[in-house]
Amino acid sequence: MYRNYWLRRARSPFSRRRMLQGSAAMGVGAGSLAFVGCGNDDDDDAPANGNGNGNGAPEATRDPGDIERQGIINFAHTADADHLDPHLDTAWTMVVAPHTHAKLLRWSPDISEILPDLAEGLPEMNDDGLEYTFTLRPDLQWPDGSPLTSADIAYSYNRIAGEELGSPHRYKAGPLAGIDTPDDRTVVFRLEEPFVPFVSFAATGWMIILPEGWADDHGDRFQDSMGAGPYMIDQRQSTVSTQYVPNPNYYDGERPFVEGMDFRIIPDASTMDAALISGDIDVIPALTDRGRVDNILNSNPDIEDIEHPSHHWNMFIMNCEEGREPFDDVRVRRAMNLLIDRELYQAIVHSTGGQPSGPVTWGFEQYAIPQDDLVQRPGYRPDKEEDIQEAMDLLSAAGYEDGLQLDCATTTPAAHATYNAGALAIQDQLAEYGIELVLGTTDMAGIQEKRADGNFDCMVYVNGGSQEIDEHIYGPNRTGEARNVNRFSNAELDEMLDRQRVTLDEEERTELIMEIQEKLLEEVPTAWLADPFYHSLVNRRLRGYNPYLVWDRSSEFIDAYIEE
Amino acid sequence: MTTYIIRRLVMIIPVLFGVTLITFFAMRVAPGDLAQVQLGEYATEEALAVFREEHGLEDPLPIQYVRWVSDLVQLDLGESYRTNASVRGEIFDRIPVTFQLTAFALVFSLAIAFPAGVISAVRQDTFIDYLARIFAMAGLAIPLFVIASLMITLPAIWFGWTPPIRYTAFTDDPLANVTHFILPAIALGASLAGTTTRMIRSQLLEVMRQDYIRTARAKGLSERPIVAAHALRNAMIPVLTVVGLQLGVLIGGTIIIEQIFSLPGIGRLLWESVDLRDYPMIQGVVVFMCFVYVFVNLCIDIAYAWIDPRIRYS
Repeated sequence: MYRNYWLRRARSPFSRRRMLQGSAAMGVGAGSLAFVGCGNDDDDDAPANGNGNGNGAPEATRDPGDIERQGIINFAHTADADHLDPHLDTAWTMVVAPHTHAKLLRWSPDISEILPDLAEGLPEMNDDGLEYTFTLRPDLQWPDGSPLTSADIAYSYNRIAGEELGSPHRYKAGPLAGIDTPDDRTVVFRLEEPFVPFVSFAATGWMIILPEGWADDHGDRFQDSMGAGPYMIDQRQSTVSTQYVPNPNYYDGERPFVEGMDFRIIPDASTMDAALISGDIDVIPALTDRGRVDNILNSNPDIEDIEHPSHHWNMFIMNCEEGREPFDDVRVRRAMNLLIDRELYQAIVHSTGGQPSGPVTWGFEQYAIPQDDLVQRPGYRPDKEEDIQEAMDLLSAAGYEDGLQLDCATTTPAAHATYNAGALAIQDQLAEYGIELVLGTTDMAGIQEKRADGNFDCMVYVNGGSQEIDEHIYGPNRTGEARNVNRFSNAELDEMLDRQRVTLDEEERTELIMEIQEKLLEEVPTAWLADPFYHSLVNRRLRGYNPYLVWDRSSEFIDAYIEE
Repeated sequence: MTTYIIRRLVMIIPVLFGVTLITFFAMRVAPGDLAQVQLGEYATEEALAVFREEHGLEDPLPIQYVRWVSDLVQLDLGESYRTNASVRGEIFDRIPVTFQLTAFALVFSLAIAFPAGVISAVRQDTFIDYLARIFAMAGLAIPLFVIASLMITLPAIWFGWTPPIRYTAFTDDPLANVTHFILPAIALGASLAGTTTRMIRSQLLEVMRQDYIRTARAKGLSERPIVAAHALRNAMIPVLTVVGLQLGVLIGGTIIIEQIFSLPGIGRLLWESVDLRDYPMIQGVVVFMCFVYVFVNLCIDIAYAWIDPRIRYS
């Protein structure tokens, strides 16, 4: 399944038509995300690695005894983690910490299935969905040789769920009533009410397990870490570099397949490109700038292009706070949704191409409204004339026939370049209809403050996505949630969102999630835009690299090895 | 001279005081909730309140300022909000990188500017003069980030080579260390080389028209000792002033150059800290940079007397 997932393209220009043809052929289901393939699967120019993919996982049949760790993986990022405590972060900790930590479970790299991590299998759930029992693998150890037990699991979950820590991931622990640890290998989570996403959240990269008492000894937002993942940190200079070596006590004795990893901070994008071209680093993930991709590929034939979808999503957020004009009026929100030309947005902001998205990004295929359905809907129709007429009527009815001025918050750091590029693209589009977007450009600190205070009318925003659908729809839309930055509130929708969390039947839940999306398209708190095809560029010496589809980089190097 | 030096040293105090005031209050005026930036946008109100309480951010600004300055005079620059690391320790860890980069850039610029400026003046309106002037104008006109980016990307595209992007300490591998600094130093020093070339040329041209130079020629001295022993030394004072003032440009330039060449120096530290509103770090770095700038210019003032014995400080 994994091997068919990544369809690589190299060098050939991408066309939307070919993409749509590829999409039409795809099957439905989480395992069929291979729809990003648009033909031209030129495996021939990739060195053989035994799996016919050119960049897939190493052969699973390799005996642990045959493994000889060799080579160092070199990778980089524009910014470093401020600390190494994923329980208290939603951003850059993910570039450093996940390689050193383990969770109870883990998502497969293609997000098709949940695999055991520290647990030896999926948990047993009782009939009413109020208890989950995990059994840990036998003889788990921390890198220092001390035993990893159920007490460590209980400590970590109680830390995340505890009110006093204020973890942004607190909701992922569910409505926790208590954790029992009947023996060293058994953990029983008791919930106050059913919480369907519990298991899948347990497999996300933020729910890492810490040694019992770690934060008590090292403080919150700690700078040194000990995890049970495949690597451990050998040396680290904050904002400069981090060197990893294999964890000698990792439960999977076969992994990692390399002698170590060298992670560097290279703040400048052009320097990073040069470093990849010259072989100084092995990978640049998730590019959406066609020119940049082509420049790199044309400069070094040893670089391979992995095209892939993602669960990240681009959106035009409208501040729906009650009493705040103009977006407290659903007619104005609908008008915005109708006026935005998603194809044009896509072409300007993400030149690698892409597709329009509904409330769930097209990359999250299991729940996304199918493209052939989506393009029939208002705002998504290829012929914009009808949309524009309808939008102008709505604006007139809302009293804005002479146009309106909007305060659009935006920011310019390289790591969030889409915010500004997207705002400029939308500004240009809406200006045609007498809607002026006044860009309030600030740095990340400024935009965070505006979001927290609700001091904006609108903004273009990109979210990193998640493996769990609840994270896509609940936080951003449920009344009063911290992630509901546009302050949208709808009692009927709140009830539906709550209900999907307790609906144990998977089919029924999926139906409910589709209904929620219909409701969201009616209320349009956000105009969901278009999401790109991502290109991860990899030096061919690095095999088994897994591009990350959500902002969870735990699996990125789990299968990677070096073949000089 | 001693009195002069002491007086100048004492004058540093009000300058630094002004810098502390501006830095402290300018950062507080900038948009962004410090606690929110440090803890993330989804941090709870309780967690934000605890952070503000722990760091005294709820106190009135004058009280926060006095607290910081009183620590500062005891050379305690505080701890980073972001990493909890000592600000002083972090600055001392990073200063060798910035010092080396600035020194290399200075050496490069002077190594280019002196011969270019002198030849340009001595061979006025010849091909070599025009060449030197074009070089000087280019150094001044092209922004350093453009020069730096081209230095990184063009060799990568043409030859599949980049200068080392990993910093290696001089004590670990002197050759790798020096190799890493050559291109950044050239990029950083290009503008200073241009300014200094033009300054040397114009000063030298003026001095060469003085009566005492004519006298030297009338005495039968050849051109070389006239330029080297008589003209150049007298042309140096304004050049030295410009070099001193340009040091500020060099220090400012390190912020960009260290980003592009991934050098872990003070400039990069300042950039990262501003982005994350790490007040103690920003304040500490700015005060330190300011002190270095003022101190170096004091040294240059003192050097005037060495260059021109007619100058006496009293």
